[in-house]
Amino acid sequence: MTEQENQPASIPMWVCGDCGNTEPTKTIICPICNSQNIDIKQSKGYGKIVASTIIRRPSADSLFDEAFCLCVVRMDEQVLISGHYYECRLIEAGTSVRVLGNKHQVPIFTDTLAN
Amino acid sequence: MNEVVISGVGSTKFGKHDGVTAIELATDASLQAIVESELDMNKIGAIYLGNFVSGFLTGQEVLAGLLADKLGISGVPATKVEGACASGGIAFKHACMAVLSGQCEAALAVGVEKMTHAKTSKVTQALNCALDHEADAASGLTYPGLFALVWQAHASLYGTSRKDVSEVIKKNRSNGLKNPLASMGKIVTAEDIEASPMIADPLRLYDCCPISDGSAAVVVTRADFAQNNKIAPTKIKASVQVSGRAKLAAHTNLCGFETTENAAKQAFENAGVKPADIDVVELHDCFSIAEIVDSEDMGFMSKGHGGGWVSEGRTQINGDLPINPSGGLEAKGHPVGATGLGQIYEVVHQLRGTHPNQVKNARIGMTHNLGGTGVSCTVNILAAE
Ligand SMILES: [Zn+2]
Repeated sequence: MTEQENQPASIPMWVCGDCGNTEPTKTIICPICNSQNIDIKQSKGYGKIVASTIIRRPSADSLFDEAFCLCVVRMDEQVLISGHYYECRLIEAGTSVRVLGNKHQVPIFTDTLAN
Repeated sequence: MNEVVISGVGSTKFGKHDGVTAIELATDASLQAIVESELDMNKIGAIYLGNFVSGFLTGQEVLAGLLADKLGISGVPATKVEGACASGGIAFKHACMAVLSGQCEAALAVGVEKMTHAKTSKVTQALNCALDHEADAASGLTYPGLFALVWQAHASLYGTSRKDVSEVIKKNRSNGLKNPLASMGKIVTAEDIEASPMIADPLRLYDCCPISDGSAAVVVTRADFAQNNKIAPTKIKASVQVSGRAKLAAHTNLCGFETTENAAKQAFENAGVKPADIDVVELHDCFSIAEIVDSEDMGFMSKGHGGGWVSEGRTQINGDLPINPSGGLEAKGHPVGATGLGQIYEVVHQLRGTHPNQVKNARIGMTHNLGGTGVSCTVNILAAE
């Protein structure tokens, strides 16, 4: 990868301008304080693994037809994001990761040390 | 909520019912409940039917109206309700509200599902309808995957082990052996569990409740309607339904479900009892790890101690707090729309003293029915007269 490609891919977050709650999907109202003062911000793309599993039998209606590692990541901005780890293996909770890109709109993570 | 009571319950066996329709199953369970309640059919003033995937898997909808027609109850509101796996509990809550509001003097809550005729891949697709598609379905999340993540998070925070979780399976499968309504009663060993296929690490086949057909029904009446019945009615001390955050990533952490915490807290307040007052619980063990997190979320022990309780035998039938003496979803099966009412059926029999796995001196019982990724939840507290 070039240095430019090695930068974490950004992912959008919907941040409440009143209470600071951050949502990982599009919203026009904050589900915590009901404010409609919502800003779209970009995550810096770094976080830590909360949990991971290997989905061995993806749902037939999923866009993924082979086994993959599904992970939940607490981004540095504190929002939880679900996505895939770039390799099909379990990854320990607490591991530092960054967004590598996305596939079918799903964030793909790698550990911060990987190229 | 002492003005309304349960005056009759009915249930089919949960499991495989080849060649029988959902409506036939619901009719069977409903008739049992109505006969037990000693009510004339024309006293049933409302029907609430819980169902989740009939349209998707069988092509048949309007189940509530079809059931009313089958039973010969005409001219009353017959309503299907849906909240994924909590559909049955929601039907019960609405039957309670119909009687409490004075809309009618008796209401029938019935839950039903017909699933075993469909391929597993089709059932997985059907169950995935309960995911937040905008947030989670695209990632390929499945329900086994969700509970595998819950287990991994619980393990990393509290050290919950394969051994702890296997104790849930061993207990519930063993409890199911004596329950004639349970399809999967069995003595299983840790070795059996660890040899079963991995579905979503660390969750194996034995950790998953079986795909099932079945129906359960409950008649709710004004207390004065049932005071002279041959079978003493069961008091409804609290019936709570709450909604919660839908998407996986919206949960505070993955070690439990805020909807369960909210519903249980409200139920204890409404009933005026504490967790320590509960004699028996039927809760939503859709996956083995779920029993551990549910029992913590309901407030029976502090977070992180659910695994220890089951490993020490404290949730056995003769333990400090018997959990799922019916065998739970693990051993009874999980005909989705019927499950919440099946739990009420089991607790009512415990409170009557007529359960095949009777908990000694059971006076107050609790049920817990969880839908989707925690998007809906119902909790009931019931008491013997
Ligand atoms: Zn807000």
